[in-house]
Amino acid sequence: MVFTSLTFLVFAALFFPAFFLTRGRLQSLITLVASYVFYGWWDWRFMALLAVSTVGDYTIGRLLARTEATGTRRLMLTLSIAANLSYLGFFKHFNFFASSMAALLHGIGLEADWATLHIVLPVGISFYTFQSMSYTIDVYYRRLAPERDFLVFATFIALFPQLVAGPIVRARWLLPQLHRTRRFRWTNLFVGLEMIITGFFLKLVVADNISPFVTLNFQLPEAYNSLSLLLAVILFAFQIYGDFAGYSLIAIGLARIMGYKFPANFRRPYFSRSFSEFWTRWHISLSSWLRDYLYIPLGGNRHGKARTHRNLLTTMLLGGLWHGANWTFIGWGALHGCYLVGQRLLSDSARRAPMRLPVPRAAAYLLQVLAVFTLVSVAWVFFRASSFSEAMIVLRRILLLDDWHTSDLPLKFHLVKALALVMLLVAIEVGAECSTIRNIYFRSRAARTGGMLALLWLIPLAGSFAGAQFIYFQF
Amino acid sequence: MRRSSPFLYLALLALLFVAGDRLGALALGHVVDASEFRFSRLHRGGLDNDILVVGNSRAVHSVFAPQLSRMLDCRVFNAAYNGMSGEVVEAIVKDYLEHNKPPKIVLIEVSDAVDSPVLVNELRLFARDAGPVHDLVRRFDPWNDVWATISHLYEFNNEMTLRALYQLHRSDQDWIMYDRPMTPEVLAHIPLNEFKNYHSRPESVAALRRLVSELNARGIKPVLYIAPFHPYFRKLVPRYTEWESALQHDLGADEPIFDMSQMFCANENFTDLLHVNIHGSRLVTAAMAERLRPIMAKIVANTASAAALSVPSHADTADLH
Repeated sequence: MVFTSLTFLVFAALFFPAFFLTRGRLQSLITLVASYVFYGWWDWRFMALLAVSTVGDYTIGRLLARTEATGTRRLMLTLSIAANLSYLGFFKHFNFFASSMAALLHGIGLEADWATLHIVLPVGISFYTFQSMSYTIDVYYRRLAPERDFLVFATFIALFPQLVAGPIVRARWLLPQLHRTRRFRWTNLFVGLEMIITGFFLKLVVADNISPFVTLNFQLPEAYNSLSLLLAVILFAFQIYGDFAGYSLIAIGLARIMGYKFPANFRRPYFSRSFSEFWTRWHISLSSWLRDYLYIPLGGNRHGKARTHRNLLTTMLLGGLWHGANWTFIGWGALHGCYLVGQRLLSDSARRAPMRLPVPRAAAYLLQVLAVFTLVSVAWVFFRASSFSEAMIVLRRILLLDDWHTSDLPLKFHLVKALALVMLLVAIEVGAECSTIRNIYFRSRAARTGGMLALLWLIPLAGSFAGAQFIYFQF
Repeated sequence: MRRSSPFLYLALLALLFVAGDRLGALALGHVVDASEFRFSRLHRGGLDNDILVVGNSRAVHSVFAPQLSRMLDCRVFNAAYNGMSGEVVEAIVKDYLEHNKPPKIVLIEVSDAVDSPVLVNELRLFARDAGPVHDLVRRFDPWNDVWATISHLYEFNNEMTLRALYQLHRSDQDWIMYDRPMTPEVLAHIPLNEFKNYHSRPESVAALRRLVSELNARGIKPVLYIAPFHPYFRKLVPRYTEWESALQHDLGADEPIFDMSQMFCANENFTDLLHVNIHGSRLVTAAMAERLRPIMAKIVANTASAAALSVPSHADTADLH
């Protein structure tokens, strides 16, 4: 079930009254059942995997509570991590590793007839396995008391707003909220609706209007000129932002209406002046997960420069692999790893050089933002392309600068509309980035009402209702 | 937001939304109706053309109306549009006949192969009043009326609105592909299964047959044609010959189809496998003019003799007096 579908509208109309008319465990039970219905709408078989993952980690959590023996606790944790990674490995990465191994063996003259399986990827598996793993790791390190109530734990894993594409909400954050009965609050409704409307604007108006131009260019990059491909790459940066940040806002808004507070998942990432800042603004729930459960346990930056660089590269490579079983995602992760390492290699003074240029401070700021955006967009090429060679064709054709005729641009009306919407989005984000404007806006009821009305008019006027899926559903 | 009654606030929000939506739609409606975009002009009425061109993008780019007009010394109006299926062609021609003076010839490109009448979503812009287009939109998009009731702005959510705004003060009859020609590099990268499902839908063909009968009944000459395909396209479409024969069989029984599909094969005349560019269009339009010249002459002669028969002679009028 997709948030942008009519089915979801019916689902929400049935769910919310039932949710607010009940109390205590019945409220949790209704949430759990609704979440499984929401998830099973794609394929009922997926529900079994979700249930297995839930029962497994709940049991391990309970077992961890009963023992103090370090060896046993470590074994329990290993079991939990191995089980979760095996779900991911089997459903998401088996075919990739099998075909890559066969290709490698073929390269050295050995023929291997590896069987590739027709595996249906369960929606959202990457998100809920990570959420579940964070629970057992936190319990193991005694940062969190094991959950006794299975109903609450199962609701924590399956809570429908964030089940399919995040944000990955930590157990420490969400479990305490799930223990309290949620009552209807007008404030929550208004704030939640504001987020949902903004999310729909980002998804239906911005992302889905950009999609046709980007898809066409990436389908057959040989057919389009440098300018067309360059625009497609820039637009894709905004498409994926609109798509994913839009989904996150809808999820956070739905949870807010229910009375749950989720942490923000995006904070205007394209205003970042460095790559480390970018990762504190983009997909925050994943980047902080990788930081806390991978980068820091690997040693973080505590054991010298070489180890820090290795840890950064490993974290980003695995972050890339988390997105999907394809060399393009590994390439994307590797590039971001290199960016982070490169940034560390540059001395502080070199990093601050733009600020020392004899240009106004705002221009220097803009220079840094543009530099980060450009390199992030280069990495997006690998993320979007269906193969490594396709990504290289796109980049090569852009760098050739061979043809900049606007008359050769495809889908001109789509392109003009997409560019206009991107400019509108940038204008909104500039306003939100400026604390004075942001404060004035959020303190003025009239301004907020006007803002919401403008977005509400834009959705029917410019939104795309072709039923496009959210990009991150594939992960 | 919090101090006043939340119900009152929600009601005010809904009221403001509806008011802004209706006002915005009204303003946009005026702009679209006043545009020089082909469907705005067609829907506005008052056109008086000798030849009307309809069909999908292959008709948009293959017949260059200004050139045909010059060559035949008559008025030509191209009302073709990307993705126009048989059902849409039927509705558009009927809409034209309702609002404008009937043409002498309707030129129809018949190689439509879209899976569904996709253009219906676009045409809701001109479905605001009752008529053939409104009926078509209602038939294929029954939810349109529901959405349009909630938001009038929704009717303007399509490419046609953008085109109408772009063509606000200048005609789009010179709409043609100026793009660079097809290259072997592009040809090499076209997937072999790109057109494996290329076929004409029976419903679309049936609509064209109905239209041909209706035009004949009204005394308007329908001329059916197939615009050129790139030779590589014919290789990619499985059973291309059978597809073309079936079209000839289904549509050509009453009106033989003017088949230009293999008229030329040089890359320089195509912009992709389905569409000719400006060079190809010149050749197609010239060939079409040659084809239409005797038909036009015959129609003009028939009209003149009919007029002569219907106008009383001097002697007759003298008798009357």
